[in-house]
Amino acid sequence: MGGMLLYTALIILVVLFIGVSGTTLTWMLWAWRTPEQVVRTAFPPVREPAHSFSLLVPARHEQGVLYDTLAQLAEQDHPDFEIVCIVGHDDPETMAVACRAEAAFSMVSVVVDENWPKNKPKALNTALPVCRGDVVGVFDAEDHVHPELLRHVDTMLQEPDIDMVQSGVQLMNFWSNWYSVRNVLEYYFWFRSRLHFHAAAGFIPLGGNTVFLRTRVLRRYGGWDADCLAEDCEVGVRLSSAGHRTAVAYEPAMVTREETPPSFGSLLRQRTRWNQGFLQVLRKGEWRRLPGPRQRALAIYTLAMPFAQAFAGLLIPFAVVSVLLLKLPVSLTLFSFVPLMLILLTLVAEVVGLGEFGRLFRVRVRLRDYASLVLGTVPYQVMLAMAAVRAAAREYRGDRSWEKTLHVGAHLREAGTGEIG
Amino acid sequence: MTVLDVRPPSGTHRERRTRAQRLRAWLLLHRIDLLIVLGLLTVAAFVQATNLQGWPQYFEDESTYVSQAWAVQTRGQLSHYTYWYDHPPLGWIQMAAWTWLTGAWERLGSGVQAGREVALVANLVSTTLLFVLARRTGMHRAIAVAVTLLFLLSPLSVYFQRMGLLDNMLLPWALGAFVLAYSPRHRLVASVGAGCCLAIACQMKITSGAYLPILLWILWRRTPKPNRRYTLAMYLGSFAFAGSFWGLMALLKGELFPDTPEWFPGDEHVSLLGTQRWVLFIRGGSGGSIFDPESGGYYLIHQSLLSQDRWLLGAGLGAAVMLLLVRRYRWIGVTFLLLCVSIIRSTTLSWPFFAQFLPWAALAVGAVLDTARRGLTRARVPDWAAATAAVGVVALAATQFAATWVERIQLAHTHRSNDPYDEAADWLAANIDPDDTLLVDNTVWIDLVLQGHDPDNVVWFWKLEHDPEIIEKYGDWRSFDYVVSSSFVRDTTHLGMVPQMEKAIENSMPVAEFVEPGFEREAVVIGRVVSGDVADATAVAEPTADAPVTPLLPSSSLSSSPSPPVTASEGYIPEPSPKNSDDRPPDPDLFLPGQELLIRPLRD
Repeated sequence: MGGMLLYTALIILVVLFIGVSGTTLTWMLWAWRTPEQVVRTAFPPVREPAHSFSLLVPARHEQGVLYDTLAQLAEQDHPDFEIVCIVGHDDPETMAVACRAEAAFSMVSVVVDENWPKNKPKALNTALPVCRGDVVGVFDAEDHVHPELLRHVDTMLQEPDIDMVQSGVQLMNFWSNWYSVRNVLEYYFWFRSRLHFHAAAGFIPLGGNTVFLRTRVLRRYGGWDADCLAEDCEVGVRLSSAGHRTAVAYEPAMVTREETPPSFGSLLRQRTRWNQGFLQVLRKGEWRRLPGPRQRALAIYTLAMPFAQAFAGLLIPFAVVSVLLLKLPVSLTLFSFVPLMLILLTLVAEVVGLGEFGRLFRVRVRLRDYASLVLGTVPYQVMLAMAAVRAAAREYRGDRSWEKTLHVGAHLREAGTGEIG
Repeated sequence: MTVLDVRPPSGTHRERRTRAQRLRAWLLLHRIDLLIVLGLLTVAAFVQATNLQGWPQYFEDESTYVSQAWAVQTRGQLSHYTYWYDHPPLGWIQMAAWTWLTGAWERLGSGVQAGREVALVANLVSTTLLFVLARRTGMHRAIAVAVTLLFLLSPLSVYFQRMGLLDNMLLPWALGAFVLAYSPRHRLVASVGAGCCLAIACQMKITSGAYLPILLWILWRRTPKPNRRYTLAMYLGSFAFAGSFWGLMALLKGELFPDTPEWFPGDEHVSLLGTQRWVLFIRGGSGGSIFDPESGGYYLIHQSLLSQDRWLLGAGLGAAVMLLLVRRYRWIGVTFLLLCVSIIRSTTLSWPFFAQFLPWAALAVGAVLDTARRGLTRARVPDWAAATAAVGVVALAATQFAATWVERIQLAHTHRSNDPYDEAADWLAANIDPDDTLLVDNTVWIDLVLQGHDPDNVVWFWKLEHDPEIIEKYGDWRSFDYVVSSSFVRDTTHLGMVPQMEKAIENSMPVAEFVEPGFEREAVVIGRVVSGDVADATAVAEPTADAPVTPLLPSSSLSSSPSPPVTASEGYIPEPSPKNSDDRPPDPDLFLPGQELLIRPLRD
């Protein structure tokens, strides 16, 4: 009886693992499912500009990288755009840099955010009233943006009824440390492939930057949720649920380049913040207004995924022990290996992805990068599980403070002097 | 770019309608091919299903696999005796799935017939897949039909496809892998499917691994650059991981590695690597070169195979060589030649392996025809001339083959090769006690067990020779009340591989003999074992035939050849005994259709 119960539990567990690892693998490779699909995920051919843009750049203790970012954004090859840099009233160093850029470039203006405590959605909401463009775009202070991006985004917004556009964001510095290669590939597969699946399936968690929204739509819905740790995801869910359409595109040349968090601690904090933000979005329940049951299911699945992963991570040791120690029937043991096979297949795809990444971005991928990719699998899963547990604990305690990511500009291959915000 | 389209719920309705419309459009688009496949399946079912149990004669391997399928279904074990990794088990697990789903044991009451049913189903799938593959490679519809008909109707096909062989079980999976590799839209998931299908085929019979490089080549050549790397990686990855289960199972059971480096003979611990090492490297030499007229291999090719049909394999070989010059179809030629090389190179000839030659021979012939067609089209030959040429080819082929082919199918539809076995089973059911112990071959084993006889009281004779567990349990031939022997067994006992069986036959008094229609010799003999105790022997229920108590064959002395492994040496050609001139192949002129299994020296 006890045996049967254990077997049943194990079978259910294995089926769940198969579901999670199977969907992860399928969606990760969605963009490559046919050759045409690979081409289809790119930008459509550029048309004449028809929109004006307000690019919001919230910055906090980022005086080391801000000026270059603003200077680079100012070189956008688009006839009609402004840059709004938002700095905190308690951050004179960054403000000084922002003002220097304001003086140097005619399209840059500075907005001071007086809110306390500070976070990104509050900063964005502060700038929203002064935006003059038809479209609001969000960038981070360390972003490296392609000069032709706005023309492409403009073209996408000319497609019928498109109110939101998400373009690719790419971490670059996979060479920096053991987790950076996994972190970089996560972004690669997310923006290159999985986001397109989400768009086609009807539910998207938007990213935090290189995201564009129509100003009037955003204002009508009251801007960003000031209390949400994943304000980017939240606004996307809210607008999608109200029937607004999103377009996503990825082209290696056009991606916004970023860096991985500089330390394990900052990576963990960043991931904790995202997870907690997802949890908040899940609890807020805007996704219930999504039109189809399939979309709602996908929303729950996506938002709860970090926790499913953490749960799986916690259960894997248990499963391994029970498979090895308890004298299970061989057939059941073999069945319990199926998820492992899927995880290994995912690893194969990641190895191929890393090689492709190196070729696309013309960076040499060394053997040790592949080694850290393979060897980092388990520690990275542990990190993800830790972040999920931390997020759940923080949300349970009601602690919603903003643990900001530190940026040093490693993706620009030069030393930065950033601080933790 | 991809657009996230949020529509009101009516959107899903519309989507559903378009799905139905899409299905209709698909059916409409493929209506001709669908009708053709339906027709081909009818032909296949007609040719194969009629008299399925009557012809050809039951083959030891068939009964071994169904016995193992029975063990899977009823006992949850991979074999009715110790599983010893001679073949991966998926082939008979697939059989067990069929017998379980359709209640085949109760429905049929005959073991081998259940296996043949599965072969029939597998062959229907193979037929469909072969047609689809021919179409996907770019062959003209008429040529694809010709390919499929060659595969279905050639005498060798009629013979092989009826039997419940592992090669028939795996063919749908192998062909499925090729069909998937020819995915028209180059879908990534199709490459995963191809890898998994091939992994399944390999876990029915590991020789399917020969297709691995061919499929890799096809995928590499066909897939456009944007998703080529992922396609190849997913194909290889899914093959490797899905294909690892057999080894993983052995590892989990502690049966991957042999205890000792020299596994055979004497090691009582079965192991995958030990058995496979024996199969691949040690047991070799028995088949001999197929070019040596003295060898078993030569005998097999010439007497048993080419006497049935020399045209399909010959034409396939010629076509395969020609295809090396044709870029589009080169891989078909290479595949067929690879199979040929593997047969020539391997030291042990596996008779049922030829079942896998048939689709490739047919495809190779079709590919040459299609190349000729393309040449004619390119040369702007008028349609009427091309049609005349086609009719000419068909007419020529018909005059050459039609008569023999029809004759062969008629034989298959009418001959009752296996009546002796069925009658023997009936006799046993009526005349033996439940407590009687019997030494039998696998065909009788499964039928007796299906009739309700205690499996502990029926022993497959190979196991009494080589399975330490069985030897310990039963001792020797004296423990048995009856011995049931086929003519094949009686003809080969003098080779010394089955001394216990030989003794049992020697010391038995035939109580019933069953003759195949059209033959004079007994196909199956049931003997009462006389273990020295005459009183015991006379207590037999009255014999049905007044047969002499003397053994049916002169017994040769026990051979000193090394003992084969734990169980029947499947795929093993006994060395022709130089001492015994009776072992020479019979005169080909005396060779009668339907008899080949009696004289076939090979077991797989």
